[in-house]
Amino acid sequence: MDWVAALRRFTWFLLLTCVVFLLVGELWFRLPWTTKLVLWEFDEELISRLAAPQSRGIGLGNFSALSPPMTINRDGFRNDEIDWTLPTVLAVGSSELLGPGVEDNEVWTAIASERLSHARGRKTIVVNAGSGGYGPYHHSVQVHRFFEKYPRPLLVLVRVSVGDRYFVRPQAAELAVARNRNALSTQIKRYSEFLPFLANKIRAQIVAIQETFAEILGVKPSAGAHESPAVADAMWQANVGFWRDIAVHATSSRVPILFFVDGADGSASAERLAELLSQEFRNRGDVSVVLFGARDIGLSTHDDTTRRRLYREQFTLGYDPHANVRLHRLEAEFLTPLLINRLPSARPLSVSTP
Amino acid sequence: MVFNTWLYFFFLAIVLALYVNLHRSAQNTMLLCASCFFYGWWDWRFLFLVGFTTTIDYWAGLKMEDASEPAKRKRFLLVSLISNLAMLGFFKYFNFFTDSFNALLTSLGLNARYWRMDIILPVAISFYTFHALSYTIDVYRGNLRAARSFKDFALFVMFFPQLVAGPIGRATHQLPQYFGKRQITLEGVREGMWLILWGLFKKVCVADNLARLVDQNFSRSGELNGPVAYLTVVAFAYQIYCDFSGYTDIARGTAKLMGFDILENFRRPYAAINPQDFWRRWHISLSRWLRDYLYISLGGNRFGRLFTYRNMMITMILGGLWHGAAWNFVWWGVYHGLLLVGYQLWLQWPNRWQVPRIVAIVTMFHLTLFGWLLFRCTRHELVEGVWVDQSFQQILEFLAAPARGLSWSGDATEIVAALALFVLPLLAIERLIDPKREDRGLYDRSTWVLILVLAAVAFFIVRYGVQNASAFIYFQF
Repeated sequence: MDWVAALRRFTWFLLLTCVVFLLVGELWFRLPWTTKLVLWEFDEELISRLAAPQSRGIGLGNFSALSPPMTINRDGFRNDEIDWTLPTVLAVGSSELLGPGVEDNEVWTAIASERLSHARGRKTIVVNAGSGGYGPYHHSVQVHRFFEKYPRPLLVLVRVSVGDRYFVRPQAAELAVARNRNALSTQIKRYSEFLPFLANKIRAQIVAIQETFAEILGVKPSAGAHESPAVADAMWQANVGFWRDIAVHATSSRVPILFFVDGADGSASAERLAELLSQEFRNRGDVSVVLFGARDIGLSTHDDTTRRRLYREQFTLGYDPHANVRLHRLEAEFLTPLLINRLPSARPLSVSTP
Repeated sequence: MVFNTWLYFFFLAIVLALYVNLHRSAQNTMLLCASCFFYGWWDWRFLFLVGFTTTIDYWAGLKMEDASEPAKRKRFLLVSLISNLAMLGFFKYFNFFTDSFNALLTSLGLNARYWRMDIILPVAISFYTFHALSYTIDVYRGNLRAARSFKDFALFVMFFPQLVAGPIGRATHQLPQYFGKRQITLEGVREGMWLILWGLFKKVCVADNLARLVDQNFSRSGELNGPVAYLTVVAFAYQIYCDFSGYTDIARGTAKLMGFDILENFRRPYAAINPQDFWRRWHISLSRWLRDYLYISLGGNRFGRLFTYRNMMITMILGGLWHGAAWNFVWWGVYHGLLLVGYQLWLQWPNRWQVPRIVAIVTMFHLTLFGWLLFRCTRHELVEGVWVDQSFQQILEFLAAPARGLSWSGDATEIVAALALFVLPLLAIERLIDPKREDRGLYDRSTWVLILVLAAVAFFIVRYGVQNASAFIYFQF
């Protein structure tokens, strides 16, 4: 009997603690100096979310106190406002391109912009149009929109990751559900700043738990995990149309394309995907495919298990599989010379400022 | 398997679910299997090493109890001591001694043949060796009856919450808990949950957030100016405290959920007023072990002042070396030995004055900081294909930091902000906890204070906790 009474008291105690926990969170998130969540907007065509223009905050994944906020400019792209009179390179991709958890000036697009400008002798901007949960279909829509709205870029870079295969073209039937979900989300955000953060954190825990047990229980691994070439074949079948569409659309405007396949974790699926893309566009001088592999980050000599462990420890944000600053720097180092070679020279490349 | 991972909490949930549904003997069997699984998760091969230590000590304990002659008892104690210390010496110190010997020969101009072995350091070897030795020494001294059940004794050595980083258990305190009846009480569960939550806060919020700044600044020690260097060492002081005490809290909390009581290991160490007081508050289980089994065995304070000082120095040097096979740990031990000796000399000085408590705390904190500098400077650089110890240079770089400037910078503001965000709540909550009943947490406070603090701690973990499952610093020891 004592146990029953004690348990009842304990349950009330826990409930009250949860309520106070929510209040503390709500209060904290409304303090002027605390970092907010980045705002998102619903997009009917993509049936997905886009970072809201002119918002600043953290978003996606597991973030600690030191996780830096992202800046979204008035055009909805990451980083500073863009002067559209200047030459640009359009980069489309998923959250790996967007670079959550990394400072604005340390995302590879920002580093590459600086290096490109320096090498070309004229300010050149790499437009970061990455967005969380975007796959090849979304990239193709983004390319179309960009060409309609903004001056023609010098080059289109498509960041391809095997992990993006989960981000498929939404079915029309999903629109109603997505609309309702978005309406609910908008309502919650109107009253609470903490609940969206909490929901995000819980989602990240699901990923963390999946990662923990992926190998033991054979649970579906999350994006970025190592997978077999068969996965790439399936992804190819489902998405080749969108990649062809991007290539046709851009090259018809005489804009070259660079498919940048992310295989830094050494996964065989990324190699296979790069191979398939290369075969598809082998006769096209204006379309090129590059693989960013394990050797480019110094991990190619390790065995499979060690390489994956080192990759996670040294090049990601931990349980959050997104790239860390180190990987962004290496990507920038890898891509900048490739971009320089593919862009029309503004002046001789050998000339550099001391 | 690290405490701050989902894997550990799933493992714990399964263990608890089995535990509450079994009778005592089966509970011990299950806990022993779980402990083997927990340890084997790192490297199952080292289970044989722990098994060997356990078997030798179990056998030595029985033989000592059965032996009637003191000489025979001593022989069995020596078997236990030699086997335990030989294993510890080989796995942990072999390369340290050969490297040091080679360096000595080279410095004397002799052409030393470089000789070292690729030895993997078994996780927790220092902890479980001392843990097991406390048993054989206590049996030898007649403080404890030898364990008759191998299973219960093995569980004492391998009990998973404290296996990897302590607290170093005392057989007299813990062994009876494995033999006797245990009770899971609501109060124990409450205290256990509090300790786990509090330990997680210390580890993932305070220690891991400070670690990023500390690691970043220690890696560029030659560039830091005075304020940044000073604040970096302060941040490290709180990082190591929260890392280690966080582990201990989770270990104690886990044990409490099952009705076990593990010795406390920390009691607000930075509130110490002198070196002696510091060692009564910092890593209590190790300092008591060293006092009872080393310092007293060396003669303690029984043979005059000089012998007392000698014994203090030997104890602290070996205590430093226990932390790791590197010279910086030796210097850390020497430094703390000198502090203890200096404090004894101060106590004997007839004209000493009464130091206000706050001055004593601040002074002791800063003396501790210098110790942490010696402890943390472990830089090694690859020079012509050989790793060269640059720890001493790194210490000098820190000490020379004021010469590089005393101006306030953004880096200094960043550390102050991190200290304010994490260390101030830590100190505030610690002040609310009764130091004499630390494991009860805030349960002696009013319910609303308790609810508010629990909610705030949980919020901090959710909002600011670093979730990358970084290992605890003391795992390497």
